[in-house]
Amino acid sequence: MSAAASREIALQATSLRKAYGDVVAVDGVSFAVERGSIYCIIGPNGAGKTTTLECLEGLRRPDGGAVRVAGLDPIADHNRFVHTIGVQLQDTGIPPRMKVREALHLFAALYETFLPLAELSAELELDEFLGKRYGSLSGGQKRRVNIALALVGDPKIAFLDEPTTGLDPESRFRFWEYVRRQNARGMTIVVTTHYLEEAREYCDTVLFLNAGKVVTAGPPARLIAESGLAARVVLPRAALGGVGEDDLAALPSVVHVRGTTTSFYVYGDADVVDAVADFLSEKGVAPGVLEARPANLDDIYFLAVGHESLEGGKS
Amino acid sequence: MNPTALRRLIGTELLLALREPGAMFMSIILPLAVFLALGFSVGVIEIPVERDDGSADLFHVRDVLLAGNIAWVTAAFGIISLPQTLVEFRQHGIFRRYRVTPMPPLMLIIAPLAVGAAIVVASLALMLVVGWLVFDIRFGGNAALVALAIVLSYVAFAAFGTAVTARIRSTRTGLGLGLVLFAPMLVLSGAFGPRQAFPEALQLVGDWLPLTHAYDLLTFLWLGATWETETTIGVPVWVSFAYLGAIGAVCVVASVRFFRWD
Repeated sequence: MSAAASREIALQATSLRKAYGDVVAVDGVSFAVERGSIYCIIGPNGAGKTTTLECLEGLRRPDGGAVRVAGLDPIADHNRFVHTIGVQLQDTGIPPRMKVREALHLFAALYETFLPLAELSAELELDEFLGKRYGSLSGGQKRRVNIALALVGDPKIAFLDEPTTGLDPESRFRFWEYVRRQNARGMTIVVTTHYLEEAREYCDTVLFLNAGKVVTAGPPARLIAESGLAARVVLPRAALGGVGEDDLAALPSVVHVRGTTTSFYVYGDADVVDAVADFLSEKGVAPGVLEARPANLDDIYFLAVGHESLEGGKS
Repeated sequence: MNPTALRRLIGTELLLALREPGAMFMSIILPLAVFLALGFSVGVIEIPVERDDGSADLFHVRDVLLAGNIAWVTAAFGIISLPQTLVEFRQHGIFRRYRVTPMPPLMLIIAPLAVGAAIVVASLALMLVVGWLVFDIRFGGNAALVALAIVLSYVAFAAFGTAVTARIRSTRTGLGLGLVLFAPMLVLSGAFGPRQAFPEALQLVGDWLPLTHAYDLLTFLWLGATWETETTIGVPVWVSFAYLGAIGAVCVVASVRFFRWD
C-alpha cells in the first residue's frame, strides 16, 4: 500500500446529489481523495458507485453539491479537465471492428504524454490479441483493453469502474501490480470493486456507499480495528440442538448473529471463539470443529450495509 | 486537437470503413458493376445535345453513366453508411467514451465524413479510369460545376441521413431505415432506368426526391448543361442546386437540434 506523499487533495466531492426521476442515486455524498492515493468505493449494486464516478468524470451533471477534480470543475473546465484524467467505463465504448492495437495508438495520440505502449500491453496481457478486433474479444479481454485505454495517457487521476470484474486471479494480480506501479509514480487512482479483499490489500482508503449515502470511510485496517470485530464463527444449525440465534446473541463478545437456513454466522471480538466454544460445551452441544476466521472487510461491509449474500466466501 | 491525433483518427476510421464489406460493395463495386453492365448494354444509345448557343453535340449513354452513379453513391453513403457509423458510436457508447478524453466531439463526425469523401472520390476515379479505358468516354461539361454538384449532393445526403437517424440507438434499426429511404429513391430517381417509363404519379413523387435532383444535376452537367438548362424534372439546373442546398441546410439544423450523443 502506498503512502500518500503529502496530504494534498486530488479531488473532492461535497454534498453530491444526483437523482434519476424519483430515484435518488446519490444522496449527499462528501469525501476527499488524497493525491497519490488509491481510493476505493465499495457498496452493493445500486449503491450509487457508478453515478458518483460519472459525476467526478464530468459525464453527469450533479443535481446538487460540488465536485473539484485536480482543482477543476469537470463540466465548466472540461477542456483542461480531460487532459488530467483517464477513465474506464463499465460499458465498453470501442468500435467493434477496431483492432486493439489501433485503439491503443489512437488513444495514445490524444495525449501529450503517454505510457510506453509495449510495457502497457505486456503488463495488462494484451499482446496475444493486439491484432484482434475489439468486438471479437472475451469479456475479460475487453476489460483489460479498457483499463489500458484509461491509463495510456498517463493521467494525474484515473477512474476505474469495476476494473477487475470478470478477470481471472492472475489477471487481477497483474492489474493491481501495474496500477500500484503507476500509483508509486504519482498517479491517483479512484476505483470501484466488489472484491473487498482487493480493497483491503491494495487501497489506501475505502468508502462504503449504500443507497446513495456514505456509510463509513477510512483505511481498511482502521475500519476493521474500529469495528470491534475480531473474528467470525460459523455454526451448522443441525449440530446445535435447541440452541438458537438469541442464545448466541446474548453471549458477551458477540456483536452480531446472522441465521440462515443452514447456519449461524457469529461475529464478535477477540474472545468470541472461546465464548462460543464454552457456551456450547455448557449446553452439551458438540458441533465438531468450530469454523472460525479473523474478521475482514466483508464483515464490516455486511454489518455496515446490512445486505445479504456476502458471507459464504462470495468475495 | 493535435494533427497526429486527427491523422490517427481518420486513418483508423478509414480502416474501419474498409472492414465494412457492405459499404465497400455499395460505394465501389456496385457502381462499377452497374457502369459496366449498362455501358455494354445500352451504352451505345445516342444522346443528342443542343447547346444554349444553338450548336449541336452527340454523346452516348455510356459517357454519362458514371455521373449518375456518383449521384447515388453519395446518397448511399449519406443515407446508409454514415448513419451506420454514427448510430454505432451511439449504440456502443463511443461518443460517451470519447467525452472523457481530449477528443473534440465534432471530430467524430468530421472523420467519417472525410473518409466518406475519400471513398466517393476513389469510386469516381475508378469509374473514370475504367470508363476511359473500356468505353473511351467523353466529358462535355464544366468540371468545377460537376465538382460543386458532387460536393452539394454529398453534404445534403450526409445531413439528411444524420438527421433522420439522430436519435436511433440501434444499427439494425438505422440500417433498416436507411434502406427503406434509399431504395425507393434510387428506383424513382431514374438511375436504374428512365423515369419516363413510370406511371405519372411515381414520376411526380420522384420529382420531389433529392436523389432525382442530384441524378439529373450530375448527368446534365456532365453533358454541358448550364444554370438555365431544364432537366427531366422540368426545372432549371439552378433550382435543383437550390433544392439540394435547402435540404442540406434544413437537415444540418435538424441534426444539430436533435442529435443525441448517447
